[in-house]
Amino acid sequence: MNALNIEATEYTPRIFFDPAAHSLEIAGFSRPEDVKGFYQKFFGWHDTNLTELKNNAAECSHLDVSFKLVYFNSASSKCLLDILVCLSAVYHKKLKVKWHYEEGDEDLLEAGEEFSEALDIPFEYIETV
Amino acid sequence: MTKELLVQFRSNQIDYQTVNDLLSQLWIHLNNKIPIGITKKVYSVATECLENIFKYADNDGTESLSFNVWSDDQYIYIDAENILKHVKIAKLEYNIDLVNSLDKIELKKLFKHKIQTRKISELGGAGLGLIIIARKIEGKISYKIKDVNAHYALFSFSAKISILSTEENF
Repeated sequence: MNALNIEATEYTPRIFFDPAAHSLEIAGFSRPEDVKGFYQKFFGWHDTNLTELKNNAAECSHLDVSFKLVYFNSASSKCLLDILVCLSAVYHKKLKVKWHYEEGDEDLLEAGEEFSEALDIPFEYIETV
Repeated sequence: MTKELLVQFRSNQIDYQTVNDLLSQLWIHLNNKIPIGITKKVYSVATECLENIFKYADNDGTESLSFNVWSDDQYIYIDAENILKHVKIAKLEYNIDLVNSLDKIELKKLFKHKIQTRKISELGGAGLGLIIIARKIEGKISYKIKDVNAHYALFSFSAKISILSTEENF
């Protein structure tokens, strides 16, 4: 199973998922014109590799998930939540989510808190300067 | 009171490149000039507003589509107008009146419910934009609907975001 590596653009985030290294990072801006089409790159890869992901989940102690987003629009927020739902279904309580936010960006912090609450998964919140 | 026009656009239609250009202009005007939290609020409201226009506005051939962002010493204002077919008006009014009727806590609950239950539509929306706008602005969404002819109406939207620090200059 190869890692999923989607490079960032001006309006779409970097998504790097390396199950062998037990890490997923989503970083940058998320405001794609075709939000469904963009995030389908993740969901399609996830569905294709589901059996191997389940094996990976069974063997690993945890999956590090880092969100380093600058901004995401409302449609992206739905897709980001769905990513976490997918991962949660495979990795269950093994998800270790780190939610990065810029100092002063209370809305981004709150967004992370709302995702955490919706999924009942504790997040670690990391303030960056 | 000092007023400054930050972004101005008028046309009969809008494409996504124009959405990108307008938001880039706005970001350049605001970034590093006001607190990042306020910059993000304004950017977020502007994004949801423009994306709604991009997805839902109709074109009757007139230059009735406009988007303006301006500021004074206390607020940043976002005003927009676009043409809509009559069939779209009732649902839009219902959705705006709904979010306007809710307080911040109720809006948060509504957002949580919708983000967990809604799917992305064929137009690429998640039905969350108006909720996000209502959560970030000062007061309520102000809107007007005026019939243009038998087929179309002009929808006008207005919202403002408070500038917490009055020490920043544009």
